[in-house]
This record gives sequence, structure tokens and C-alpha cells, in this order.
Amino acid sequence: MSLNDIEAMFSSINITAILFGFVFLIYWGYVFVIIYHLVRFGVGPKPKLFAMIFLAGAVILFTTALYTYARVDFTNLLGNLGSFKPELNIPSSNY
Amino acid sequence: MFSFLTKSKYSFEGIKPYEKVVILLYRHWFIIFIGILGYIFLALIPPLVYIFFSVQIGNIGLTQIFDFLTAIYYLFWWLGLFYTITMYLLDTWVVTDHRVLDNEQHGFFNRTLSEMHLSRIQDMSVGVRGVIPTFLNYGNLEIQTAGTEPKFIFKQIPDPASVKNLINETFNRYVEAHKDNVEVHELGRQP
Repeated sequence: MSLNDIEAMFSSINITAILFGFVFLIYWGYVFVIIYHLVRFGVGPKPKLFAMIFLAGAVILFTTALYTYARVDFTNLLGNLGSFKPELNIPSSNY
Repeated sequence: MFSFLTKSKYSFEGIKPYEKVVILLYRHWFIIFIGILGYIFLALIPPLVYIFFSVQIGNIGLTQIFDFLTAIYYLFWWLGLFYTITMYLLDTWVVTDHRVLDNEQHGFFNRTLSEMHLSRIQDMSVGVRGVIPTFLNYGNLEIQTAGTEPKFIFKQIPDPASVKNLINETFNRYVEAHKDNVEVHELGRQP
């Protein structure tokens, strides 16, 4: 494997995807811990019912986050920020 | 599949076959209400940011990234909300016709479970302190055990005086049914 191949391999890796994949991994780990506690240690049916509501909400929110992530164009993000010129309306009487 | 929702109204780990739950207590609803109210305010932040800065966000072309960051914000908002609800639901006090159980959750993987036999109850006292607890009728119920063991405290429970009376009645019934403090339900099981 040449140096160019390695360079090409690394350039094809989407850093933002890895970053958000890491965030979502933490998220699902946390979701599991909450559901585990509610189902394992909860007394009566109420905690189990809340665990189901929580899971449903977590799935819906995760799907929404995934959908919004797919819509973001990260390559143009820095370009958009660079082209931003704030409009300063400073009254001339201040000078 | 969903039988665990209806199988037993007050089922919990370690319940004995002959044991009946008299009452299951959570902290007063006002305690969780305060926590949820905080999360409701936090949920209003992204819409407010959008209302006040929608023109600027649109001008820079960051609408999509704003939507994405809002979705991420709500992901973690949901976790925080249910962390609070989980801690509330796992702080329970159970009075059965044989014993009193205190389950306290101090965070994830940090749990205290103590139990006390009804026969060990020596004295009970109710403490309602503060303006809101007095209006809403919630407070602490302290149970003094025999010996030098620490007190059993039911924290911020609704109507602690009624719970005290209920435990008294349960205690009296237990004493009547268990002469000389002998567990009649386990006599046949012993060798």
C-alpha cells in the first residue's frame, strides 16, 4: 500500500459521520441504562410503562436527528460562515 | 409480551409468596413536578432562539444545521427528563403485611435497599416542615427501630399522617397473626 493509497483512504473518511456516530453511541448506551433501571428495579407496572414511553420517544427523536443530519451539507458549512458579513447599523452620531 | 404490565400490581424483586403489599409510596407529585417544570423551560429554548434569530439563521444559510443542532439538543433533553423521572420512580417505600422496604436510588448504579420487619417498629413520627409541604400535605415519616439501628425515613411522602396510621394498623394485624413473633407462613418449610 503506497502513501497515496493511505492518504486517499483517510480523505474518504467522513469525520463528521464518525463524530456523530460516537455521540449516538453514547446516546443509545444512556438509553439502555435508563430502561434497564426502570425495568429491573421499578416496583409495579408504572416504571415499565414509562420505560416504553421513553424508548418510543428516544426512537422518534433519534430518527429525527438522523434525518436532519442527512440534510446538512457539511462541505458548504464553512463556506457559508465565511461569506457571512454582519450588517452593522451604527448611528453616525456616535462618531 | 406485555404481561409484565398486568401480572402484578406491586410486584418487586424479593417479594415473598405469602406477602401482600399494603401500600407503595413515591415522593409527593410536587417534587417531580418541579423537576419536569425545569425541563419544560429548557424545551422552550430552541423555539425561542429560532423566533428571535430566524432572519440571521436564514441569511447565513444555517437553517439545516440549526435543525440538526435542535434535534441533538432534544435528544439529550429527553435523556435528562427521563433521568429525573427514573430517579423519582425508583425512590420508593413499600409497606407489606410483613415488612417495610426502603429503595433509594442515588444515581445510576448507586442504589440503597433496606428493609425492616414490622415487629421491629418501636416508634413513628411525622414531620411536615415548610409552607409548600404544609399546603400540599407532604413530609417525612420517621420510623424508629429497636436497638441502635438508624431510623427508617420515608422522605417527602404524600399524607404522612395517614401512612403512619396505616402502618400502625398493619403492625397490629401482624402482631395478632404472629404470636410470639413466629413466622407462621414459613413453619412448614423448616426441617
